Amino acid sequence: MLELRGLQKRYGEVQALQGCTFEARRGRVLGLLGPNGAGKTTAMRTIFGLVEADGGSILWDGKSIGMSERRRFGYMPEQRGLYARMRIGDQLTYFAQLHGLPAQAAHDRARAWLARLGLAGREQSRVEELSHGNQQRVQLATALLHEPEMIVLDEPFSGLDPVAVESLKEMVRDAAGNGAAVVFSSHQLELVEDLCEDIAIINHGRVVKSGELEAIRQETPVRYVDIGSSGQGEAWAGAIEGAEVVEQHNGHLRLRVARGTDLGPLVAAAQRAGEIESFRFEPPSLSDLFLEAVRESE
Amino acid sequence: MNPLQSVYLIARRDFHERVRSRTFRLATLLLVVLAIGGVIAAEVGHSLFGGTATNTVGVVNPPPGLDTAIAHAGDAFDLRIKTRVFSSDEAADTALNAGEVDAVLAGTAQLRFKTTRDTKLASAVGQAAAAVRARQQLQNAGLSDAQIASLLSPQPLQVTFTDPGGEQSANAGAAFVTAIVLFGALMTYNQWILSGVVEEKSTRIVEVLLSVVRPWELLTGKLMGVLAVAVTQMIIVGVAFLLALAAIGGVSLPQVSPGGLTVALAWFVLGLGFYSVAFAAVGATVSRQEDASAAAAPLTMILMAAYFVSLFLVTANASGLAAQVLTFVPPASPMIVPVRYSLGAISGIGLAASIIEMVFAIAAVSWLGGRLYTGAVLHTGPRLSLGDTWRTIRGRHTAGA
Repeated sequence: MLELRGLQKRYGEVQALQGCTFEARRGRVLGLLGPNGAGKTTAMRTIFGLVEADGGSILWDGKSIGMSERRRFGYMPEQRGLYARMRIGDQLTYFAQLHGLPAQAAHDRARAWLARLGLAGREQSRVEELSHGNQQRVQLATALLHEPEMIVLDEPFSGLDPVAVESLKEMVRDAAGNGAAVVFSSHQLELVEDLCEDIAIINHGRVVKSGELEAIRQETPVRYVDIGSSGQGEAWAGAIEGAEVVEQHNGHLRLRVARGTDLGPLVAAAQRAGEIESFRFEPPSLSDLFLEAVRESE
Repeated sequence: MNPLQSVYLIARRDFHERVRSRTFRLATLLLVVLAIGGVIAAEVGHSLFGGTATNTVGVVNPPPGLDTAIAHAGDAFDLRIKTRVFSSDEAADTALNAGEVDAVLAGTAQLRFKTTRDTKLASAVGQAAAAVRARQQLQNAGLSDAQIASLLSPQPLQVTFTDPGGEQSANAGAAFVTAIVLFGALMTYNQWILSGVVEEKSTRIVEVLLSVVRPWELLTGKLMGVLAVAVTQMIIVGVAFLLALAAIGGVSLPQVSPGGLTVALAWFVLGLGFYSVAFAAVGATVSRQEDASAAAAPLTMILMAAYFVSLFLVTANASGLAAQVLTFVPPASPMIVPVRYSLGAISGIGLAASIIEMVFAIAAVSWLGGRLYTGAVLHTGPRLSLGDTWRTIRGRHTAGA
């Protein structure tokens, strides 16, 4: 288990981390969310010793992290790059060796991963000759091919088309399925919702909400009602006690109500306004949770 | 995995990637062509402009031993003289008039030119003819071959100079070449270090690398890799040069002594050791390849200043005060000491002292440069000044937001 406890980091006037605390467990995927400049990247870099924290501690299985532990981790930084002119086979082998694999094992692993990425026979291709999506996949492979126990991916999905996203998601799921603890940051909340069991929402260098995603959703004292209706306007909804209109577009109305609200009067009022075409009652989506958590912590 | 393994892996990657690059192959090919071409050009130039041209002397009825005597006499006069045997005076004169031979020696008594007398050639051939005649007469007088040999081959004169400055000019060519090659090599390989460091920083590969290796391991590995490439390239070009010399003759090229070569190579390694860490530190302060040369400009200027001082001041007066002082100024000494050595203007003690001082200077630069590199290479955002970097290190902050 990876534990970040009370991390502090200041850059001049900016307090990048102030008591950042969260944990990531083996075999699970944790989504690290937060607005730009919230401290996600700084938190990730402290795990790898790329940033020296002013205070707090980082533990892996209860012990502090040194170079030999980091060799068993995998890391993919945000603005990632590979050696543009290096052959991809050599590149994968090189990174595997730096992570401690013997030469032959590193070579075999590189071949196996290229085959898995559908790039078999292209060991001799240079990185710059690959498509953007393939470059990204090779990049992720450099972080995964030594079968790390813990994987940190900073914005792995940014700028990718849906096909590439699917393929990367599968790689991440497999890694977690093989027992690795995975931490990744993203602004694409649907993706996080889809991929993560756990989340940590960070704002102003502090974790404002963390835990198992499904549990957080259920525990939240609000629910959302989404009504598709032929009726125009939102005036009718204003008459329902405790309902707050969150969004209105294309004949859909999204309301926030308290958990345990009696839906009878609400449905009746909606029916009076027009014919109901769809109705959804649900706990908050990740996007709802995120916006709420960030708003509360401002 | 121990640090040495990391350093080895990094050095090996840098070495392999550079040696396999098209740039390296083209550059090496170009240098080989230049080296061989230089030998050929020097040889052709020398024979065109009155150097050791080959003269041909037609001989008629030559007495035994004349051709070797002429060749030996030619050596003494810095001439290369071949002989061509003719059966008759007429045939020899026809060849002389046709320009096929430069002169005709009839027997050992008469030397004929076509229009003008070549004094040097005449003296050389005259000496050879005289030696052959003397040998014949001594044989006729009943002396043994050994006695003749001792009479005709006296001990060579020992040549000394009252003004040793005059003798230096013989080595000036070697010194000149040393300065040019050292400067070119230091510039080239330091540029490699610079662009290599910036490549890793600008692509953020450095973050992945530094999550598994320590900064000093990465830096050492890169320097070792480039050093290995440099030595490989120099050996390839050096071997081509020596082969061309051997094949073509090349007596007219500046004489590069094994000692001079060793000292130059040693100082190349010292100079690269000194400058490469500095270039790496400077490279670490920029995030884009475009900013690299501007950041490295101060270092390039220092190197160029040392080069020009070496080329114009030290070659002119290798024992002057400036040369003596600059021998012990570390940024300049890699360019100064080998040049002074090839001019015979530095004592063994001076050489040893300058090398020892340089080793300490390299240790100091590595310490400082290594810290600057570590402090700057993970910093993101706009370019850092070295002052900022230093303050960052002192403040124990190692990276940007």
